[in-house]
Amino acid sequence: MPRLAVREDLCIGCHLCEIWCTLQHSESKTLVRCFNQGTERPLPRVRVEERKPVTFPVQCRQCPEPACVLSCPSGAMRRDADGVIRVDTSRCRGCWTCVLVCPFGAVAKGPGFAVKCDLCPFRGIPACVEHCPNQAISLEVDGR
Amino acid sequence: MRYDSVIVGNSAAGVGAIEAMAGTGGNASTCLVAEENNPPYSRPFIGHLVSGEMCLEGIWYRPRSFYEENDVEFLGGRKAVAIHIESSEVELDDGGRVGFRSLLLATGGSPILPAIPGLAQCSHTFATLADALDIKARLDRDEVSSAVVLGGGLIGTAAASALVRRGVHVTMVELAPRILSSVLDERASAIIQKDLDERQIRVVTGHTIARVEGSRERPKATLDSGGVIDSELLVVAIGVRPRVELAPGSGIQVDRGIVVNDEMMTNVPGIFAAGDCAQMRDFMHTDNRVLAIWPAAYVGGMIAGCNMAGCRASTRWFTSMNSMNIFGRSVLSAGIVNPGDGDGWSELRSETDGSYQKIVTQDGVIKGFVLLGGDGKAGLYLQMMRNGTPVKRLNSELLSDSFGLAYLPRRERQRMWKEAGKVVGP
Repeated sequence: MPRLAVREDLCIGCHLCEIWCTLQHSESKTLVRCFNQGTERPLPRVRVEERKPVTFPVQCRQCPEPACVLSCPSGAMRRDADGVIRVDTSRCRGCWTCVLVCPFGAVAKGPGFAVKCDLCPFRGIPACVEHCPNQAISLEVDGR
Repeated sequence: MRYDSVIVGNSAAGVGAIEAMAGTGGNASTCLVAEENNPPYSRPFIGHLVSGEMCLEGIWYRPRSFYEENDVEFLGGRKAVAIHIESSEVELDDGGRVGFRSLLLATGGSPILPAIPGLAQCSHTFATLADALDIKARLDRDEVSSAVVLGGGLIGTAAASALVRRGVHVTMVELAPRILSSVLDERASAIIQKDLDERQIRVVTGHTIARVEGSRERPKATLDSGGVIDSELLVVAIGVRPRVELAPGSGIQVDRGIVVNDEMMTNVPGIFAAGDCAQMRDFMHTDNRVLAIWPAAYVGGMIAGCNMAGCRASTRWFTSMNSMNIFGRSVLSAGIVNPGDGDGWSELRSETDGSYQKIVTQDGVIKGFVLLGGDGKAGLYLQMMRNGTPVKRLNSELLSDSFGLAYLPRRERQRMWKEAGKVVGP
C-alpha cells in the first residue's frame, strides 16, 4: 500500500507542502488566484505541526486499520483499489465522524464534506513530495 | 439449511462482519437474516431523507449487490424468533430454521416508547428507513405544518432539524433540564439550544407529554404542565434500547445488552454480538456498556467476523463518542463530558465567537471532551485518552490552535505513529 513517509529531522518548517497541496487541489492551479486574490483556496490536505525546534508535516497515514473508513456511516470514506483511502465527496454527508476518530487529525472539515490527502492521483508523485525542498516527505510503496 | 456463519441483523455490525470474513479470504458459507428487506442503509442519515437533503439512492450504505458480491445468502423480510443452542439453529418466523457453526447477533436497538396514554397510537418513531419514508410521504402530501418531537437527544435533534428544514413548526419536548444532556455539558447544550431557537424550533425542557389524544394525523399532546399542543405529527425520539429478545431462555447472558468480551463473544462459545444490542468494554470505564454508536457497531461486527472466520481478534477501541453536524456547526464529544466527583478532576475550557471547546481530565489524563466548531484535534484527544497520555505539562496548550502531535514527548509521538493506525488488539 502506498503512503507518505515523513522525516521529522529533515523538516525545516517552511510550510511549502501546504502551499503546493492547496495549489494542486485547486481548479486553476494558479498561485495568484489561490493566495494573492484568495478567490479559490482549497484546504491543504497536509498540516505542518510546529513546536520549535520540532516541525513535521502531518497527513493521512493510510492506516492499516483505518478508523475513518471503519467508522464512516455513509460509506463515503473508503480504501480504493490502489490502497489509498479517499472520500467520495458525492456520498459524504459531513457528519465528521472521521474527524472524530482520526488519531492524527488528518481529516479536515471541508465545505460540507471531509477533506484528506488523496496522494495526488493525477500526478505521478504527490505535490508535497515533489516540492519539499529538503526531502522530508517521500512516497513509500509497501514499506519501501 | 446449515451455514458456517449466520448473522441476524442488516446494519453496520452485520456489514462489518461480512467484510471482515471476506478479508480473511476464506470461502465459508454465510447467511444473513434481516427483518428489513433492503440493502444496508446509513441509519444516522434517515433525517436527511426526510429533509430532502438526500434521495433514497443516497442512503444505501453499501451497493444493492453487496450480499450477492460477498456470497451471502440474504433472507430479507424474515424475523429470527428463537435461538436453539443445543442444535445450533436460529428459528425464523415462518417456522424454518437455519443452522450455524458461529452466530452473530446484530439485532440493533428498538425505539423506546414510554408508557404514556395514547402515545403509541398517535405517534411515529424515528429509527428506521420505513419510519423516515412514512414521515416523508406525509410531508410530501403537505399534511404536516406543525410537529412535536418528544426527546431532545441525538435522535430528537436529528428529527427536529429535518422537519424544520421542510418548513414545519417544531416543538421539542425534553424531560431533562437541557437538550443533548447525555453527550454534552451544560454550556454546549445551551449553545445548541440557541442554534435551535434561531431556527424557530421551540424547545420545552423539564417537561414531558402526559397523554395524547386524537390520531397519528392529528395528535393532541397534553404536557405534564397542562399545556396542550395540537399538531399534525408526533415523533417519539427518546432513544433506543438494545434488542435482546432472542437471548433470554437460550443461555446467552444479558444485562442491559447482550454481554460480550473483547472478542465480541457472548458467554456461549461461537455466539457473538455487536452493535446497539451488545454490551461491551468501554475503555473509559471499568464496567461494560451499551454503546449505541455506528463506529462501535461496525468495528464490533468486524472483530466478531474475524473470530467467526477463525482468525483471533479483539479490541479495546470503544468508548462513547458522538459526532453531529447541527445546522453547519460541528459538535464532537467523547468519553466523560462532565468532571466526576472526587479528587483529581479538572476541566479546560476555551470559548470564542462560534466555538466552544472543553477537555475533562482526571489525574493529568484526558477523560473526555466536547468540541463545538474549531478544527480537527478530536481524534488526537481520543487517542490520548486511549493511551493515557500524561497531559499535566500541556494543560495550557491542549486547547491552543497549534496543538498537535508535535506537543507530545518524542517517545509518545513515536508510539502514536506506530500504533494509532490500528483498532484491533489491546
